[in-house]
Amino acid sequence: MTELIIEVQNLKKYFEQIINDQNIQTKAVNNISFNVNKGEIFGLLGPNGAGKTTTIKLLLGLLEPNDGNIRVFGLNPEREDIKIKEEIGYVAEEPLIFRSLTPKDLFNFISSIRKLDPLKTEKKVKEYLESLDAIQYYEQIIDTLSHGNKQKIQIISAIIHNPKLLIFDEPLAGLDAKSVKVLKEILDLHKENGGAVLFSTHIMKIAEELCDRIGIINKGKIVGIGTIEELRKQSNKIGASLEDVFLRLTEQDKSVMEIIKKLRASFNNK
Amino acid sequence: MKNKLTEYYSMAKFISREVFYEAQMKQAGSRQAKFLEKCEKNKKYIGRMVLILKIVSSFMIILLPLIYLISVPSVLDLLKPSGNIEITAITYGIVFSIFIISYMTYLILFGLYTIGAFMSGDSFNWLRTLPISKKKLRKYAFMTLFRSIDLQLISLCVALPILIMILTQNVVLMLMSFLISIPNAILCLCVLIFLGEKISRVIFSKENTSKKSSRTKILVFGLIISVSIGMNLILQFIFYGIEGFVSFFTLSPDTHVWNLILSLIPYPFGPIYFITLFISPTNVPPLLILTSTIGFLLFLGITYVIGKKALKSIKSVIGTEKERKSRKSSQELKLEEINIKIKESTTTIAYIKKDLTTAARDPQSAMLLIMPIMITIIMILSFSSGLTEVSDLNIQLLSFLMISLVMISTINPIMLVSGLMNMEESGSTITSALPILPRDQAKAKLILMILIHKQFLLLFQR
Repeated sequence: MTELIIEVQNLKKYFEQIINDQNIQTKAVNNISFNVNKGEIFGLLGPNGAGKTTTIKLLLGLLEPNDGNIRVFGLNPEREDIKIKEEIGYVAEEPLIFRSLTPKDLFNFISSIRKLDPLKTEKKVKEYLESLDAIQYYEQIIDTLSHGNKQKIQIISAIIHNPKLLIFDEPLAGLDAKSVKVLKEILDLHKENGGAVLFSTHIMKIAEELCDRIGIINKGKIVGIGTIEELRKQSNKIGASLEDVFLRLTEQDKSVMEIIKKLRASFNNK
Repeated sequence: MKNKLTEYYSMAKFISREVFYEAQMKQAGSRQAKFLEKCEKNKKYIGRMVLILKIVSSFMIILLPLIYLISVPSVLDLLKPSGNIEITAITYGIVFSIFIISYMTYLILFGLYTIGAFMSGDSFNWLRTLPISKKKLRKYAFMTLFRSIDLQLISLCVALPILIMILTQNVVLMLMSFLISIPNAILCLCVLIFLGEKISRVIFSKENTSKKSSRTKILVFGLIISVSIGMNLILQFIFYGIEGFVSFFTLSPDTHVWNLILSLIPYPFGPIYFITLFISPTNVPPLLILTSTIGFLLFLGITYVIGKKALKSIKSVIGTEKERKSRKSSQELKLEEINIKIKESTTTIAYIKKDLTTAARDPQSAMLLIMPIMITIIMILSFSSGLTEVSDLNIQLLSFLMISLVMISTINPIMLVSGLMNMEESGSTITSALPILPRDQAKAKLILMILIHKQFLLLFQR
């Protein structure tokens, strides 16, 4: 039997907003369920504002759900978030690290917080910095680096403690081709060593290449879940690319066709 | 226990640095790229800035009020022992209360941005994703708060004792003033925390970008800068007029009644009157001892209550997103139909519009246009304050006009040019990709400069 790392059941998260003087409840996550198994890369795919980041924040215990169950390593993130965070490496969409520090100071800080062995950490940091071509930025202030280089530092800071679960929210934004390749390799090695990955992205090609299973989320709901083949069956698009499957399942295929038609007409009239 | 405290203190260094950085980035506004460039060139830049700001603000807290004592000798005359305890008490009560208020104002002015950045809670967003318990996070928060303004708080504790020692050479009074300086520093810190919380909602909020909030931001920015620059002027005016003010109380036949009333006011009179009891304890009337003690106890009570509220505010900074959201006012959105209209205009007009729109949205850019006028006015008032000594009205008026014209024709254009040039740094990557003639750019800047300068001259003429 496969070991469950993440278990989400009927999860709901609502936000309240006052729009045009009316109190309106936005359903950011609306009754979603999915699992992530040990040794698996699970992709959470969805358009902007679909509820991916909210789901991740709920898993980390940064937000409290309105309803539903979450278990990470069998623990409840609301009550046992510290134990969960000890085993997690989290990479946020926008670099969520201390921007005023140099990578050197940042890794020292993380090492102290996570109580890591300094010698082992030094070795690992050096290896990762070299493999991601970021060694030259070791003593530069993080905020002065490019988005891609900031992302590299954030990725290293999320993996230096050998976490069992990696939660990556759009980790490839701004990374160069070489770094993407290296990161894919890191994720594969992590998986081979029994780790699990929850990978949120909207880049179809990456999801297709990397993920063992994919959950497609739209307007806070899971509209399709499974391997690529299973998703193709669910969308009645046998042999189609993940992009077409995604557009079909999120019901965007017709509107995309209309937009393309309009654009062509507009260009021809120029 | 001691080791743990040291550990928290040393770890707070990283967080307080981030807090300072956030504050500096917000202050830089549209000129963030320039700030980042300095950080890139010198990796120790942030650390040095933290240290310089701490040292400068600590010196300002201790030294600036002392400068007024030297520059306004009448204050020193006022503080000479009179032999009458009622007169001494009221004089000390008023003069030292002004000092206590000025210490608080300087602490607020120098610490407002940093504490505002701290109270926004943004520096704790990443820490919340790490395995740190709430209890530990709270300790980090307290240590970060302390590390952010530690030197300023220490200065606040020693400023009054130094002043009293210089003026009275009385060790007992100095020790007593040190004792009351500690709760006073706590009270000042609490006030700073509340103001920091308010300012974090206005200036550090990333959510609210409406026109109304932009205007509020500009207003708050303007207010902070005017008070920062005008503080010296305010103190100058207060000290020049203090003799008459104190005389009103000392020459009154009811000085003892005034003493009883003032000593009951918990802040700033409560702690000062409590110190004055130790000037000559045997000569102080028993009723004044009672009211001063009540005033001092009320001051301690207020400090305790405000301190508890400030603690609650700090706890909410590191709370969950839900807890932090609850302290923010709910954001109201107005959804309106968007009409896209493109208006054609000349390059020069487009440039002027761009600068004015930037100024209306970005408080720092707005300040670049408003500050020349504000600084000129403050400089005129500051230089003219000495004219009160001149008896001939005509010479007084002529001197005032001379000072004003020199200030308007020198400071205003220099600051306007520098401000308008600084505005150009924002969005330079966009404009550099457009086919713009530098002549059109310069023309727009000149027109805007003349318009602002002319408006100010017209305002002055009226």
